[in-house]
Formats: sequence, C-alpha cells, structure tokens
Amino acid sequence: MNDLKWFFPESGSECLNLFNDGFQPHAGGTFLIKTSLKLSGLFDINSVADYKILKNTDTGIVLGSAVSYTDAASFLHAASPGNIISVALSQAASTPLRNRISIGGSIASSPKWSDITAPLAASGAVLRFEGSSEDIDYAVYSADRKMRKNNLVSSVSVPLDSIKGSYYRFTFTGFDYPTFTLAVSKRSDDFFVCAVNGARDGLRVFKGNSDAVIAEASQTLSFNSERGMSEDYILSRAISELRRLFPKGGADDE
Amino acid sequence: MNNLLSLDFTVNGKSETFTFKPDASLLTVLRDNGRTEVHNGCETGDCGSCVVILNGKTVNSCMVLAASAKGGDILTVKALGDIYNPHPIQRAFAESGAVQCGFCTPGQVLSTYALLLENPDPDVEQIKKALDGNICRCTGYKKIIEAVLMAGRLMREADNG
Ligand SMILES: Cc1cc2nc3c(=O)[nH]c(=O)nc-3n(C[C@H](O)[C@H](O)[C@H](O)COP(=O)(O)OP(=O)(O)OC[C@H]3O[C@@H](n4cnc5c(N)ncnc54)[C@H](O)[C@@H]3O)c2cc1C
Ligand code: FES
Ligand code: FES
Repeated sequence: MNDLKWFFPESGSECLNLFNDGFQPHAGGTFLIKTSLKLSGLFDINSVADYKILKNTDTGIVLGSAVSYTDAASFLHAASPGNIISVALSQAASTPLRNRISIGGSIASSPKWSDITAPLAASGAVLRFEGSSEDIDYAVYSADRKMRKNNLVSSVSVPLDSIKGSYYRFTFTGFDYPTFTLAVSKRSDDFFVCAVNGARDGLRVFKGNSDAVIAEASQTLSFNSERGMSEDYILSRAISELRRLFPKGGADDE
Repeated sequence: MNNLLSLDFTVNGKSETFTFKPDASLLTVLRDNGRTEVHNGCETGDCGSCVVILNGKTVNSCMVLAASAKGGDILTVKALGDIYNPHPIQRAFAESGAVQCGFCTPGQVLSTYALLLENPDPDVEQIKKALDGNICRCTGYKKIIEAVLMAGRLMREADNG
C-alpha cells in the first residue's frame, strides 16, 4: 500500500499512457480515499486543461472529466436555469464535497447513490474516452462494467434541449445518500425520458408519455429493502414521486 | 519498505515541504505537522470538522489524498485570526453564542469565510446551503446562522470604511 506511486501528467496523451501502463486516474479522490488503495500508482488528472473544460457548443454542453460538481452545476445553471443536471449536482453530498467530487470520477465509479447517473441517462448524454473520437452513449457505458474499467473518460456532452425537466432524490435529510433518484427529461409535451437510479437492477430508463412511463415503471421496477424501509414502501414512494415529477395534464413544470 | 513522498504546500501563507505516506489524507498530514486546529471528527466526509480551504474552495481534508494537494494553497482557521486579533467572523461566532464545545467551529468559520468572499450578503437559505457540510452537535444551528449574518454585516461595514 505504501508503495503507491503518484504521477502528475499535464496532457491527455500522458494520462492515456499511464492508464495503459496499469495506473489509475485520481480526480476528486472522494471514492479512492475510501478504498484500500492497493494500487501500483495513481495519476492526478487535475492539471490536464482539456479535462477541466466547460463549454457551450452547437450540440450541447461539454463538461471535462475533472470538473467538480460545484463548477459543473454553476456552468449548467447559467446555460439553462433549473435544468435536471445542475439541480441534481447542486443537491449532492455537501458543499465541501461538491467542491471535490468530479464528473469523470462519478461516472466511472458510479455508486448507487450518485446524483449524476439519472440525469445523464435521462438527457441522453454521451461520453468521450481519451484516445478516441467516438461518442459513447452514457446509458450503455453505465451498464457495462468492463467498458467502465477499461476506459479513461475525458469529457461528457449533454444536449441543451434535453436537460429541461425535473429531478428528485429520496433521502432522510439534505446531506444523505439517496435511496433512489429520479430524473425526467421533457422532450415534448407528450414524450419524456425518465431515468430511475438505485433500483434493484441499478439504472432503469423509461420512455413515452407520462401514463406509459408510470405504467411501465409500476409494473417493472423493484427495490431492495433498505434502512428499515420495505421493498414495497420504497417502490410506492418511487412511483408517487415519479407521478409528481410529471406536469399535470401534459403541461411542463418549468 | 515505506515509500514516503516529500511535497510542497503553502499553509497559511508559508510554503513548506511535507513528508508523508503516499496514501495519507491531507487531514493526517496537517495534524501530524502541528496543524491541530484542523479537527478530526469522523474521517468519512460527514461532519465537516476537518474543513480547510484548498485553492480557494472548502474541502473536507479527510477526503483529500494529501499528494493530490501538491503545490496547493491551504488555509486553516488560524490564517484568519486568533484570540488577540480575531477576524470579524470569529468575533461574530463568539458574540452570537454560536460556539459551545467549539469542536465544529474551525470548519464552520472557514465555510463562512468562503461563503462571504463569494457572496458578502447571503440570505438564510444561502447560508444553510454553504454550511450544509458542517455538523454541530451543540448549538442547533440558529446561533450559527445568526453569527454568519452578523459576520457578513461586520465585513461589509469594514469594507465600506
Ligand atoms: C460522505 C460522502 C457523501 C457523498 N454523497 C454523495 C451524494 O449524495 N451524491 C453523489 O453524487 N455523490 C456523493 N458522493 C461522491 C461519490 O460517493 C463518489 O465518491 C464520487 O462520485 C467519486 O468521484 P471523485 O471525483 O471523487 O472520484 P475519484 O475518487 O477520484 O475516482 C473514483 C474512481 O473513478 C476512477 N476515475 C476517476 N476519474 C476517471 C476518469 N476520468 N475516467 C475513468 N476513471 C476515472 C478512479 O480511478 C477511481 O477508480 C459522496 C462522497 C462522500 C465521501
Ligand atoms: S473529519 Fe472530515 S468530515 Fe468529519
Ligand atoms: S459547538 Fe460543539 S459541535 Fe458545534
């Protein structure tokens, strides 16, 4: 453990070489520090300018992988006030943690309680890996453990017109790990993409009008019991919160 | 054999070389080097008693791998003032009765400092949000919020001469 080496690369290609040599990226470190760190080495990605990028393009907003939740939330809020990703990131954890937790570290470690998972999946976010120019669908990446392990995330892009909608995290107190999170992306008056994270089988995505989404979610979602709450209670809570996220009579809740 | 790292940080305006294990937290390194004003409450990122300001942002020093702070600029509560020359935030905490056992206070004061630098006149909701990572087992938060409001007033008055 104490033989852990540290590297401080300044470019994406140096990072990729270190990654291919078997060293692991360090972004916010909030996940890594809780592990046994039985690793040969870590490379800190915070000096790579491309990984700190925050930009508005024709196709949407690009967030570099080393950008913190705090910085991502304020940039996204300025571009589209009240959007599902900025609302989710600004409710996660606590202020000093949000100042450290990174986009890429959260996407890669993807804990069950992560506030980033549902809004990225609902909004159709795509990822870029270092050394590749291909867009990878976030929901596909999220479901593929091997893909997560074998790739260095350089950025994520979110289409501006799909981040409008609503977000909910089920917690006991403000600073708490959510039992489940819900994100609804409104694509039109009668077409929504809804992501539920924290279900028994992880992330689930439902598409359609509000009635179709609620019907499918009610029939197919299930949760594990947790913190004194039964499976049935968590499911009924998820469905009633989901109903609340949809605008009444098809109108938006913006 | 233990492989130790020697890296430079600036702590409260003074650049120093610190030698530590590669998996050490910033909290451990600071406390092992005499910065015991940085308190150790939980070491899991939950309580906020270990908060320091790293490169202008509050962080839980127990959740920061020290090596990743290489070259960083760190402020502990001692950078602000002491009992003989308190910062307006420290005065406000004392005068508002926002300190009981005092264990959480360094973290609360630093979170307040970071907030007031960014937003000199925050409302109660903004204060609650900025201090959401600082848990106090004694005061019940009302006095802490009053202290932040008073600190804001004192700092604005000082700025306006
Ligand atoms: C007390 C506490 C409460 C929390 N509460 C919440 C919460 O409510 N909501 C929430 O969303 N999060 C929360 N988190 C954060 C979450 O649990 C993870 O710790 C966080 O998402 C990890 O991000 P990081 O940047 O710190 O990653 P790191 O710890 O730096 O890395 C995590 C993993 O990802 C790998 N990695 C890092 N960057 C990349 C990259 N670019 N490409 C590929 N792999 C990479 C690392 O090698 C490592 O394996 C909380 C954390 C703590 C400590
Ligand atoms: S000691 Fe760091 S948050 Fe409690
Ligand atoms: S004053 Fe005792 S924990 Fe806050």
